Amino acid sequence: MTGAGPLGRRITPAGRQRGRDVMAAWHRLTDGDTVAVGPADGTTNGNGHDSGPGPVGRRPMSLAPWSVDGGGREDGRELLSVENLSIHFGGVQALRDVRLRVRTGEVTGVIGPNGAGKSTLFNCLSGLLQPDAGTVTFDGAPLRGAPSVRARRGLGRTFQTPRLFRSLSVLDNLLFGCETADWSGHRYVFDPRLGRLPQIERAERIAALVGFRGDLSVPAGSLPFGDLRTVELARALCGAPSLLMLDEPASGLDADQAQSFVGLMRELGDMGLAVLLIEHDMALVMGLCKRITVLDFGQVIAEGTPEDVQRNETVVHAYLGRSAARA
Amino acid sequence: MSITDVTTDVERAVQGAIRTAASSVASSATTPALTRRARLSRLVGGVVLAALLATLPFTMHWAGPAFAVDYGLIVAMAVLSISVLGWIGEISLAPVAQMGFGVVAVNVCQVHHIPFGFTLPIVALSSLPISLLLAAFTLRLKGVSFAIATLAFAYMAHKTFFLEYLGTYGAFGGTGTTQVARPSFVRTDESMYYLELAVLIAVALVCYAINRSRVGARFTALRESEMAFSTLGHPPAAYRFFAICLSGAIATVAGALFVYLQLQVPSNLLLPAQAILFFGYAVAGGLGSVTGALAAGAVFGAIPKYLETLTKSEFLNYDLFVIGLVVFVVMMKAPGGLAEIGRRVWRRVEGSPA
Repeated sequence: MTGAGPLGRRITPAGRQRGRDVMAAWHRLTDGDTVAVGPADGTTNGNGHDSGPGPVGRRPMSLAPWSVDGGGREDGRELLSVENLSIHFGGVQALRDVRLRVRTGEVTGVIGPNGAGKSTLFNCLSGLLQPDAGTVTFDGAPLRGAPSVRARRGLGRTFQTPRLFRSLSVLDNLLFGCETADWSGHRYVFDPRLGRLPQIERAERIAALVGFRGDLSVPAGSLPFGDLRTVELARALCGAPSLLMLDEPASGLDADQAQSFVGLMRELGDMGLAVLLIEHDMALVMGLCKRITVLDFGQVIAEGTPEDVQRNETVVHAYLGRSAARA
Repeated sequence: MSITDVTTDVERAVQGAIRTAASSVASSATTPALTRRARLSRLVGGVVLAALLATLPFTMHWAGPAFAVDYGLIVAMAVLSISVLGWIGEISLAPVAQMGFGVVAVNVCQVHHIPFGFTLPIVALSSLPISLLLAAFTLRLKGVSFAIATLAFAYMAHKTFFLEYLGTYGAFGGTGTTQVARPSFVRTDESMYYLELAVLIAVALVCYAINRSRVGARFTALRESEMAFSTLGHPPAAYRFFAICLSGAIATVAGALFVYLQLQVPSNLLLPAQAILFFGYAVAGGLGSVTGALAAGAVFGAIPKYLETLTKSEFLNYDLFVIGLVVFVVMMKAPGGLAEIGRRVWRRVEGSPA
């Protein structure tokens, strides 16, 4: 699947290859002795995506076999369940009876026009906002408490506008995530061996994983916008999340960075990480997500596979207006 | 990419351990090697500063009594207590009230014949209940709202407690004592200076170490984005409580030293308006800067007292005007306060790029 469709544009093979290159470089750094994870014959992998030929998605030999307690791939297990989530601000009903499911090893998209309530949903899930009603279950238990408590349970997130600690160095920013991982004792779903490394080395490796090639000692505030996004993603990954919530991660990225991002997300999903993605770039969403939930005016108006969503008239109407939908 | 150079697990582990041990603030930029001029400047500067601090009460006798520099050190400590809260981006106007509780705590210790060696630690610990109360405010209040809440607390403490307990002459009403007694080794103002200096240096070193540690980085992160800080798994309330308790302990100890210096502290010296003045000093010193707070104590605490003596109290007619003018000029010239001016001057002395 390439993500082509009426709502988006095609993701180029070159971009996908770039993402693979990042992951291949990552695995070379992790351990020279590797085995192939995904099919090497160009068939689709378990996530429904075309893995393509070559040494893609390689993981260290010593990590096998993946198991629930040993760390690693747990495809399809329901990690996050949202039921009837509602919140209002004054007279505005920002979310109304929102339902959502996120499974391990999948990238789940949340899309919708501006003001649909996507970021509000993220803020409710991460504990920054208290919903009026509804239940959220994470990893089999109710998700409650302050944002810091939720983060230690394995919820990592980025923000629509990157919120790095600008006067601290890039490395300092990443170490905040590493500290959380150590405190919570969570394993790194995408490479459990990371947890055994010293924090600084772990941060360096995750920076390399996301494709950040700059100097880790410079203040984060001095980075260009694209790098801010990349570092924020790395910081979230440093926290060893089992669910990664990304709020418009590709906005502001140049074409190369966006393509790398797609490749990276795919690989992380393949390794068992659950990703919840808000994004306006439809090509990216349609190409990356296995399931998509569409919000409009705080309500879920559609939910399903990318193909289902693209065919849904209510969705087309919400994005383009009634006349365009008829046309 | 630097980590491609690391080829084996052993090398990686060793390098990681070395790097971890090498820096407490792991991320800081690599410190450039000092030039010969810079090294010499630091050596000479350190020696001159040490000599000055060691002899200040005597070398400044021409300008006034040692009381002036003693008072300056106490102002420096009070300003430091306010400046510490700059680490979490908050303003408290309660430190003068907390100083008042330090005054009371010293009297209580003396009434119960507690030896001086235990008094200052007890005073520092006694600050906790008030600090925790103020810290509880920050669970709901931030910024200006928190500042006003602390000001309100200071007025309440003054009206309901200090006015009654210390009265017009600071005579510790109801306890049977009229003034505290200094320990025998600090009978004179000159010897009191060394006690204050030792306490101030210890407090400043603790603050400096905290600020340079990973905890200091967390304060910075909390100040810059509480939202990101909390969603990364760090509890903002814990760090707020810690900073407010540290600030409270410093202010309370400053109050204890103040009463040892003055022997009596009338309640009018603990008016909350004094905290606003100290806050101005903290901003002019460089909010959040340890050295800036110490410099502000010297400039706005000691020098006016010396001028008061030199002008035979004439300066008292203009002191707040002159202090206000100095604060104004400092802020216009260097928004980072005296700390920024100090850094600029020092860079020139060392010959390093601005």
